[in-house]
Amino acid sequence: MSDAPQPAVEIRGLTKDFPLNLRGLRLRAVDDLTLEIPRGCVHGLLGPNGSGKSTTIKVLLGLLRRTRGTCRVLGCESDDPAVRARIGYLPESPDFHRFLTGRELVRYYARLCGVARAGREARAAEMLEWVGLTAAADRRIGSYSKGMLQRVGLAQALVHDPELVILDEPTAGVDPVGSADIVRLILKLKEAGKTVLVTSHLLAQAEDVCDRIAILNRGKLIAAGTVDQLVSRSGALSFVVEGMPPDAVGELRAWLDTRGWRLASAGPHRSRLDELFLERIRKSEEGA
Amino acid sequence: MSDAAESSGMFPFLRDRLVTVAVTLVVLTATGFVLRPLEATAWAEVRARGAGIDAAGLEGAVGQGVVAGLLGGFRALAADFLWLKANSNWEEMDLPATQTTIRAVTAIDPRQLYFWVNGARMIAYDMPVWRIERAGGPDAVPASVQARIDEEQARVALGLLADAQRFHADNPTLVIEVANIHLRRLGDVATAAQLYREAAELPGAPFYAARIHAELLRNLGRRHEALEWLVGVHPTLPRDVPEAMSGIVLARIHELEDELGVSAESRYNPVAR
Amino acid sequence: MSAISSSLSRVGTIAGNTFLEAVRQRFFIALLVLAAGLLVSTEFLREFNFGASEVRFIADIGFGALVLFGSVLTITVTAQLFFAEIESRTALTLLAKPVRRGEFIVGKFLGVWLVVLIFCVIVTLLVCAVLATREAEILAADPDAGDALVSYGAVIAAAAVQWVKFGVLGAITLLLGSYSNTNLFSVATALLVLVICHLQYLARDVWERGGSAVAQVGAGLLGLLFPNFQLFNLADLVTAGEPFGAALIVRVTLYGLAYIAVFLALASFSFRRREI
Repeated sequence: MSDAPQPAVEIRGLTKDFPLNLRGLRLRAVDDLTLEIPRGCVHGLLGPNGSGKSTTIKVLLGLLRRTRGTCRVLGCESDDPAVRARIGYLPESPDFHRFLTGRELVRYYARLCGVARAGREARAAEMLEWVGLTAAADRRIGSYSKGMLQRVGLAQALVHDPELVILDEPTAGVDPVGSADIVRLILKLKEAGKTVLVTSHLLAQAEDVCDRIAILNRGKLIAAGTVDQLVSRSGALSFVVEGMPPDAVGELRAWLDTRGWRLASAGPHRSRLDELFLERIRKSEEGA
Repeated sequence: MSDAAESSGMFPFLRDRLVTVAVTLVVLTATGFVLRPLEATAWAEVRARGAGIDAAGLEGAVGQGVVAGLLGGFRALAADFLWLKANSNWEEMDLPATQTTIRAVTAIDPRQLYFWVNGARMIAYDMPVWRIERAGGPDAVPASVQARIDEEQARVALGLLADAQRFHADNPTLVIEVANIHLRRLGDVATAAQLYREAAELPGAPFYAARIHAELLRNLGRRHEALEWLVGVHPTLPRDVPEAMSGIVLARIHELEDELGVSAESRYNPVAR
Repeated sequence: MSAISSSLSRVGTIAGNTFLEAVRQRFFIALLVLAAGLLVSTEFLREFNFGASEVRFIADIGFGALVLFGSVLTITVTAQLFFAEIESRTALTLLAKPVRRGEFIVGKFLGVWLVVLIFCVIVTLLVCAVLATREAEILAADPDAGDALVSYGAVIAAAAVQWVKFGVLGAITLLLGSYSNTNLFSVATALLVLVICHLQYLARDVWERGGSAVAQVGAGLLGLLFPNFQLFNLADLVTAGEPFGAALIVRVTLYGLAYIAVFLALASFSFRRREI
């Protein structure tokens, strides 16, 4: 028997059809998907709208029934309700009971997940602090902004210390500052040894935060692997050189030519727009 | 999502829904079967006390929008509101409407003796007056016609009270009401006397039923019967209940003994008994 | 924590949350106000001078308000809270927790049943208060009327049995909701089932007298498929002045509780296949 830890998620030949009409016409949302998500990594599930990402997640959570195939989560059948005590889930554009306060909501879900009464209050407070909602914890959910809804959604997903955290479009509709906070939270989860499955349309963000990626299109898996494996161009290297004057590029090219290597591109190094944005916001807030 | 929509027949799609419906029907039928003994026992008791409605009695009343009244809890309410309507019709002296609503009320809620008794009174005592007034008044209408009207209405009221006895068998109040109609509307003292005796012998009968029976016998000239009756009743009357009027009854006994010339030795002596 | 106590904890959590959501419904407050208004309107009965019978009229109106508004409240709040959870997608996060479909159904039911209990208690207290006031006035005016006109124990027992019936009605609504796709369909069907359950004994009588084999089979099936809601109308016996004993109350309550359990089990069975 292998000593390798069981994958967090094992999907084999998953197919999910939705019936369209009484005549039996159906729509195939997921088509023969086979995917493994190892433990302890951040795994991205990418694809255009309607590619089957949310459907796959809902099948993993037992919210939808699979038409064919098998799904195992943390070593258990995915439709076993007991395994969901070890999973945390934040749906896309979450909605919660508006009459509850943030604190009441997190306590409510903690109770549903079996968090012991003795530690429930402290755990809820800890999660609210973790997501930066302590100040708004006693306000009604109905008064929360979108970003705050995402944060309280994260808090309820994590309150029971799950092993697997599933985040469906966690940064959708959130401003860049809030988005960066959520990315930081995801990386903290990884440091804490959690497995994180995240779907996103924001490819640059997925590239920064994910270790592994699977790309779906029209229900089918069209690419899977580590980020480096997928985005690296074989046979090419990138360098960032500081202090070199632009007119020395020709000299460099000539040297490379003598070795039989080709300089594919050279130009001013550009920082990323999101990095610039965050840095400028941080500086203006520090200045204020 | 995939554009490759495929047809795989109707059955897989409907299968789950059909299974759910089939299981529901089977389980509910089995539940009804298992609970039938429990339900039957309770229902027999509830129905015997009139919680149900006689389907046959409703045939004439459905058209008056009483369907809603069948939904238990509502039917008592529907009967109440119809009774208010009957009173309203009574105030307008609308004979057909009053009679119809009285019938409807007693059909919807036959358990309420109040509706039967008061309905019968409206029919027997008030409606003849209305009819006579409409015909020109008591001075214009011949006495024979008035008597016929009185009798017609009395018969209608007696018919209503006969229906009432299906739901209120052996109720002294009902029997007394029938007796009064015979006495006051039909002038049939003999039948009234017999009915008052029947009422007096029923459990829960008012004390006056026995006294009135004796008075009616006396009016019929059957004084010996009246005396014998009162002598039999007096010992049963509680001395400490004012309504029993045992003193009055004793006085009547002595009056009858005087009228009949009963000897001193044969007179009724309550102390000796 | 054992599996059973965990399950009960989850059911209780969902029930508590459902209760909090239900009491905030404006519909609940509106029906309560309507019922109270109807009772207060019994003042107009004085014009008719029915004497001791007025007390019975008041009780009829009170129980009528309880049954009418209680039935509407049960059906609409049950359907509303069930579909609100699914349509607003709060069911996504809820059912992604270790919550079984049956626990969700039972929790929803208990939350609504508790709200209906509050409604029944308030209306019954109002009925008793109006009855007591009028009874005192009538007895003071007419000493021949006796010592007491109303059995308050019977009034409370009859109201309690109606609450059990509302439980059956709520469980039926959940079964219909678990199967249907819209709130409106569930409410409409539940109202239809309410009427059928109230009239099923009548149809049984008519068809059983009918004589044909088809009618008899139909009557038999009708009697078995639908619970007999007329059985719960002990209020009719109260207003008719017919005393009833504890044995009858126990039988009717057991009958109701059995049907609640069956309908909730069926709702859980139906809901387990529903895709969220």
